[in-house]
Amino acid sequence: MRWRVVLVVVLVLVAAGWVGLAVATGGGTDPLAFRQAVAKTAQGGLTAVRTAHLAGQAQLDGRMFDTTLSPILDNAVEGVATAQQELAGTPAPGAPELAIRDQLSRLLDDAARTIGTLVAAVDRNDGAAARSAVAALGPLGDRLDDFARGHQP
Amino acid sequence: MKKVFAVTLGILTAIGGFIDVGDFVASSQAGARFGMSLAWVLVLGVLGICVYSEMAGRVTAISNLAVFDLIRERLGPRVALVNLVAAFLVTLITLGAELGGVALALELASGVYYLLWVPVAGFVLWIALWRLKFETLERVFGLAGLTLVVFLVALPHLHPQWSSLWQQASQPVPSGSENWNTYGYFAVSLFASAMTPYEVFFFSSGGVEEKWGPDELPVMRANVFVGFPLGGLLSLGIMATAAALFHPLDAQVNSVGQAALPVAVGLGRVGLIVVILGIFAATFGAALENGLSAGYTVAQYFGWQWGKRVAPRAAARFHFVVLLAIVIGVLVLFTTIDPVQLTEFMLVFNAVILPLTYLPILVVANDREYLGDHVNGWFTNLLATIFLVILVIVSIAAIPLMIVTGMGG
Repeated sequence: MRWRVVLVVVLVLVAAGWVGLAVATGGGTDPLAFRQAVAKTAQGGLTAVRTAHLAGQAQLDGRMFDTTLSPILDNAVEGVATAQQELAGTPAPGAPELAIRDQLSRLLDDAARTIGTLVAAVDRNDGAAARSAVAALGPLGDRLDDFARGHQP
Repeated sequence: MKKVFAVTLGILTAIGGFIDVGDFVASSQAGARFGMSLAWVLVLGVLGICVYSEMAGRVTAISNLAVFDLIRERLGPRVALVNLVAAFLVTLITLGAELGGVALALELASGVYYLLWVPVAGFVLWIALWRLKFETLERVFGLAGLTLVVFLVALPHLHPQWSSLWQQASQPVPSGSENWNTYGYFAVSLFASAMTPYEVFFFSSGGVEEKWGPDELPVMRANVFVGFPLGGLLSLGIMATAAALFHPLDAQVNSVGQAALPVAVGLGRVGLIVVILGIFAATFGAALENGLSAGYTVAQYFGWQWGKRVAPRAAARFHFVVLLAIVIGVLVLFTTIDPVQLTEFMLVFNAVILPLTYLPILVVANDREYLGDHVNGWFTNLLATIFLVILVIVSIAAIPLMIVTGMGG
């Protein structure tokens, strides 16, 4: 009997803690939740761009195999796509936040386009196009980094 | 001379066999996000696994019983059943994660999508566990895992700012935009990666397989106190290369390919071949250990015949559990869950069950009925108790930190 009471109390406490955590971590449209979502999204885009840049440069320097580059670039493409999707699903609570979202959206579009160009260039074995895409990824990464640093929650 | 060779081989195997997909993922992610500021957790984790592995090895060498045999005998079937369910489930998740690591290494080598490699890896794993001798399994993949030393070789070629790495290591606080919650989450993951429970089950059951007795205690201690710390050094190398390449760029590590990138950048194609071989060996070796550990825990709990010394026909139930574990591991990956994410889950759940694994070892290591004069001394008990407190804290903090940070954010 005593064990049952203890068990019920423990279960209730666990359930209450669980609900508390769910409420505390639940998404919302308040400015703080928006900024957290934007920071996470920008970080996802930044990671994808930096990785594609490093891997692409290694390929141009003859330090990488095509078979290894391909999955790394695929992950980068997926990373940007996920970031874009998450941003699209993050409603802006006001006009200032809308401007921030648009700014990040443009950066992510640039990232998707440039990484896509690199993937196509590697597939075609087009060295010049690959070099041009890798060169563009460096400054794009810096812009995303500046954005991420400037929009920490 | 033969003895020296045996000790050296054992140590080398322990070094190479130390790294698995959990160490690989946790170390590279932590290095990218926090630089070397979480290096102290790895050092702490390696010290912890040394303290408890020595105890488990001593218990096995003196009593000729493996950890799970003793848990059931000493703590009774009810408590042991809780332990069994938790350990078996976590071992299954770990096996899935290791198989995912094998498939990702093969993808990096071939360019073929990793999911197509998963059933192949599972089948080859089962054949290896069925056909190969215990010593062969342990030595081949342990020694091949030594190739991960390539991370330490690549580090100077990345031209890191040594002073910056040292500064990060000596200031254990979250850097830049990171906060204490994510710092805590990655600390828990790293600690769990160093103290993974299956390592102890495998270590002690391996002792029974290799027929350890009191005479083997010095060799066992050499493996633990020399091999494991040097294995931990490989983890630090993985962390340091990620800290040197990704951390200054504010980029995170989310894939195995990214984690191998510092070696390609530092050493070129030869380094890349070596690191892919190392990842394959480390994850395949760990998958072998997990497959066996799944069989060991269940068979030891129910008192079945078990082990590689026994003919498969005589240990049919043990081999069935091993096969079942592999099939479940493959099916988990077929859900298309990202193997890196699976590894992150695995580390959190490993953290949760840490006290369940290590407390019984401490209890048995103090029991004169089993160990006679070889029971723990006061210093070992002091260290083990300190670590047990840390294990409990880590276990309680793991799931809340996972939820609050959204698995590290």
